[in-house]
Formats: sequence, C-alpha cells, structure tokens
Amino acid sequence: MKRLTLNKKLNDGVLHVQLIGNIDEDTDLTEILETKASEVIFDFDQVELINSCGIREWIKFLDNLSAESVQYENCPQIIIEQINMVHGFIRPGSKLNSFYAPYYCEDCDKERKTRITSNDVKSKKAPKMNCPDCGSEMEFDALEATYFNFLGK
Amino acid sequence: MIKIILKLPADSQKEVQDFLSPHFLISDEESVDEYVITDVHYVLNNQVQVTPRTFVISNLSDQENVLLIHKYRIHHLIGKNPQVYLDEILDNLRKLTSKQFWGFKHYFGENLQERIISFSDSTNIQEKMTEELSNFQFDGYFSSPNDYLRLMANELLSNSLYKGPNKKRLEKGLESSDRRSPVFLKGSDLVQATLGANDKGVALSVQDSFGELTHEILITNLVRSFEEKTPLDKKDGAGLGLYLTYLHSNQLIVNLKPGFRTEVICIIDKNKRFLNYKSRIRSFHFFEEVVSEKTHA
Repeated sequence: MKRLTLNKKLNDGVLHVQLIGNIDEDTDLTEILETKASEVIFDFDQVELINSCGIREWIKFLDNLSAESVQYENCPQIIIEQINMVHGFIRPGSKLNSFYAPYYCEDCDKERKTRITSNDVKSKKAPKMNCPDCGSEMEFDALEATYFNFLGK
Repeated sequence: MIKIILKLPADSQKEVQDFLSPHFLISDEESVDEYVITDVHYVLNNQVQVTPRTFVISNLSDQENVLLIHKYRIHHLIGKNPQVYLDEILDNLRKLTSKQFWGFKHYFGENLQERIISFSDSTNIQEKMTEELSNFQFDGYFSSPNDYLRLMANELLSNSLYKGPNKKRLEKGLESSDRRSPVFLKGSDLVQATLGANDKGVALSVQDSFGELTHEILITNLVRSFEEKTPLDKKDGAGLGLYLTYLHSNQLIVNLKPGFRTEVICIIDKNKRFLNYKSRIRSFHFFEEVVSEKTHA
C-alpha cells in the first residue's frame, strides 16, 4: 500500500502534521512522538484510506502522544465514518476542527463533499450550505444523528 | 415446484405472496424442511423455529439484527427496505433453492461488467484494486462508492491472505504471520477478488480456498465489534474488518464450503443519494455448501 507520508512544521511548540496517503498496519508515527510538541494539529485532507489495522495503530499512537492539545483538521468523509464506528480514534479532550460532509444539490442533481467546521454544527444539525455552481440551498445527505455522533465523543 | 411458507403480518403477507407466487408455490402447510419467510417479531416471540432455510424480514437496527442473528442462528436476514426487499428475497431464495452458490450471478444476472483479480501474495493489494476500480464508471451513484469498495477489498483480501494460511501455520505449531510481514500463498492456495457492476448495483466478491469463515466465527466477530467498537491487539488483524465491511455494504453475503472455499460478497445498490445508501437496513445471507463424502475422500 502507499505508505503514509508526514509533512511536519514546528512553530512555537505547535506541530502541524500533514498526513498524505493511507493509514494502515505499516504506518509509523514514531517521529511525531519524538518531536515533544505541546500542541499537535493533524491535517487529514490527503488521507485516502484508513483500514482496521490503521485505526489500531492510530489509537496506540495517541496513547503514547504526550502533547497537551491534539486537533484534527479537514477529515474526509470516510474517516468521519470510521471515527463514528470505532471508539478511540479521537482521544478525550482533543478537538476535530473541520471535516467534509455530503450535501446534495437537487437542481444540479449532484452530491458535493463540503468542508464544514465543528462550530458550524449546532445540536447535531447540519449547517445550511449553498451549491457552489447554482447557488441553490443543498440538502444534507446523511443521517445527522449518526454523522455528527463524533462531536459528542 | 418449490414450496414456500409465509408467516408474516397481514399487510406484508399479501405483498410478499403476490410477488413470489409466479415463481414459487405458496403454502400454509407447515413442515420443518420447507423454506419459510417470516417477520422479526415472530422470531422474537418464538412463533417460528429458525432454520438455515428461514428468511427473516427485519426493521430493527443493524446492531439489533446482528444480536438477533447470533441468538437465533439466522442465515438469512432481509432489511425491510421498501424499494428492494422483495427483489432480495427472490434473488436469495432462487440461489438457495438452486444450490448454486458461488459468484454474484443470482444478484446481477449475466449482463454485467466484471473484472477478476487473483492474488498469490499480500503485496500491492491496494494498488491492484485501485487500478481495477478505475475501469468502472460509477455514474448514477453517490460520489464515493470507490472509497468504500477499496476499503472493503483491503479488509477482506487481508483477512483471506493472512487468516487462512495462519490457521495452517498454527496447526503445524508455527507462529502466525504479522500483518506487517508479506505473505506468499503456496501451491493451489488462491485468493481472488471480483468486481462487478450493472444497472442494479456494484458488487465485490473475495474468495479464498481455505473455507474457514463459519457462521459462528463471523457472527461472534460482528457481535464483539458492535458491542465493543474497539480493535483487538492480534498479530493477524485488528478484528474489525468484517464489522466495517458489514456497515459499508447494503447486502453482505457469505458462501462457505467448510475447509475448502469461502466467498464474501458485498453489494452496494445503485443509488444517487448517499443518504439512501447509509440509511438502508443492511441484509445478511449465509450459504453453506455441504461437503460430500466423495469430496472428503
């Protein structure tokens, strides 16, 4: 499988990590543990797949991560689903800032994966979004209670 | 003509009877050996004795259904999804009564785009599947069936490539292979993936020549995963692959010839809306081919 690549930037004790590729049994995140940053922000935008062994490796990694603050950004839809299906992917106290969610534009007859922030979601209700092509209001295209379940974790 | 017994509430009884009567003889006579179609509430109230020939129609949640499958050893559970459940009953009844279990012709017919990929080792699974999937146009689907098919293929192929050979290794007193180490199959051992699509949906089949995935192993795994939702710390897997596959399929079908062959089929209905894909009650089917004395010898 395509090995996971890590692009890291450390600024004033804050480590930004861009994850690129697949998170699986071969994933090695030791170099992040060695950084000793107090705050880590993970960007998942270019993660293509996370399999069951990858979820396990991620949970083990979090157990050993000493950073006080952990944040997740730009989580793809399939990652959000895995987070909802398996416990432990987000450790207590960490924050998922932004993620992608499915919306559907009836006028264009197209699904749009739309980036939203966790702050936009109130009481597990999807925020209103307009179609980037025609401007019509789109429908949220998943079960809100299930899709936003991770926000209560 | 094959006889089917219906034990259903009045409204469903008429609907199912009207749909199936051109194909099967619908009877009121009860007999243990017959094919029975019933409703989940008859099972819960012990009004039906469940056998491998019993089809249970359910409107319960996926987790409740898995617990029910475990408790009553159900082989055929049909999610009561209005648009598709009658077709599903017919497809699976035809398959069960024909005793021709392998492949997905019972679900999609002969007219489908199909790609077969054989694996003799665990290297480059993902690259091979991604390349094969690029041959399919998923017009008329929500935007990401590819993501789900890649994930399910990854989980099922890894299970087949590691778990079957590992059982043989353990029987010989050897240590099981770690998922981080590549495995190479020996001799006639085979793992094969098939992708198929037509206007009904898309299917992924993963077959192996080990035949180890029994009803008990499968359902015990699903029950644990649904209840605990955590990975296991085992060398040959995290114990969540079947659970993730179940939740990303619309129908999960397992064909087994014990000790010889396993096939797991995942079907995703053709569907433009992600909401419909995810809100569907998942169906489960388990078919077991009896190993004859002759095959044993």
